[in-house]
Amino acid sequence: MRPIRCFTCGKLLGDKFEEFDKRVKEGQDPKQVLDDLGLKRYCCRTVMLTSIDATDEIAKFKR
Amino acid sequence: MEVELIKHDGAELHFILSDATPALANTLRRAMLEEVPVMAIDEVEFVRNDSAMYDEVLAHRLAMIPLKTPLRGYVFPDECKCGTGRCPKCSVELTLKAEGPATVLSGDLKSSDEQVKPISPSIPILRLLDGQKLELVAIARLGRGKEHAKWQTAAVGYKYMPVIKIDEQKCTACGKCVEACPRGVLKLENKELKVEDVLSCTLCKACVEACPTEAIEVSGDPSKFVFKVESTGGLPPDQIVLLAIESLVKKFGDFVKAVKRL
Repeated sequence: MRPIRCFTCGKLLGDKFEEFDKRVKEGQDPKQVLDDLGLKRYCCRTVMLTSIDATDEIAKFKR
Repeated sequence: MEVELIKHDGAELHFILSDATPALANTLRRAMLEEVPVMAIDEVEFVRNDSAMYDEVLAHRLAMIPLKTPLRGYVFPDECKCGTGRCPKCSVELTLKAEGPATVLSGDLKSSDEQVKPISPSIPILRLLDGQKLELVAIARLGRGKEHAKWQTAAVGYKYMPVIKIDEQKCTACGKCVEACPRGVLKLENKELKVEDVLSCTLCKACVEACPTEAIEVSGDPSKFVFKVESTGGLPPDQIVLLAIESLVKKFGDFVKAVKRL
């Protein structure tokens, strides 16, 4: 799953991924989407841009 | 000492602290990061977990969810008379029951106190496949940021108040500094260089380097601080400042008492 908070500053990011993924998939500029979401620091922006959701891959295997 | 408010907007509070020292500014910053009591999930009892996520990982994810905290509503578990950390004065129970296929959200957590709940109902916690079940009881308690980042309730930073001096004798109004500034601090107005937005200056001195006639001087005033407090949402930012100061007052009070006993 995607992280809930920013690794560095602790800002809540968990509720922002849905909108971010959707709008970037539609072809919008990630820079603009990050600005609209109110993410000013580069720590939060990095987490949004670089985290990958591997849940569905992992879900196939047993614990 | 003086405090001037610049911005108070939802989760953000910006202010200028004047006639202070770097030591005092940093004491205040650290108190806001480490000493402000806020609620966070501290213990999780699993009844059932069929998901691909390990109990420990799931418990950690739950702990990272910021919780709304009522002001002075709860006591620290180690200061509570109950001694167990499980009574309604020092803890809140959040129960979660879900069955797949579903994405479990923070809004699915049912709190025993309506005032203590996730600040956003749409934080994904985990995904359940068809037929997978999840049942757990999470116990939230009051804590401080110095113990764990889950109890850190604000991102706080400060900088020296920027001081930009323009030597009008040397300035030729060529505009190279205006182009060089990444923050749009400077502006040319009627062939005269003006400081448009001094608070946005980050003291990077790109303008100083760009100036061919050495007409600009940029420095920070070490007695004046621009503070930015950004709450994670558990408490309002002004209360974070006040609670931090309160914790400092208590610490120094304890110190004075200890010295008097010598």
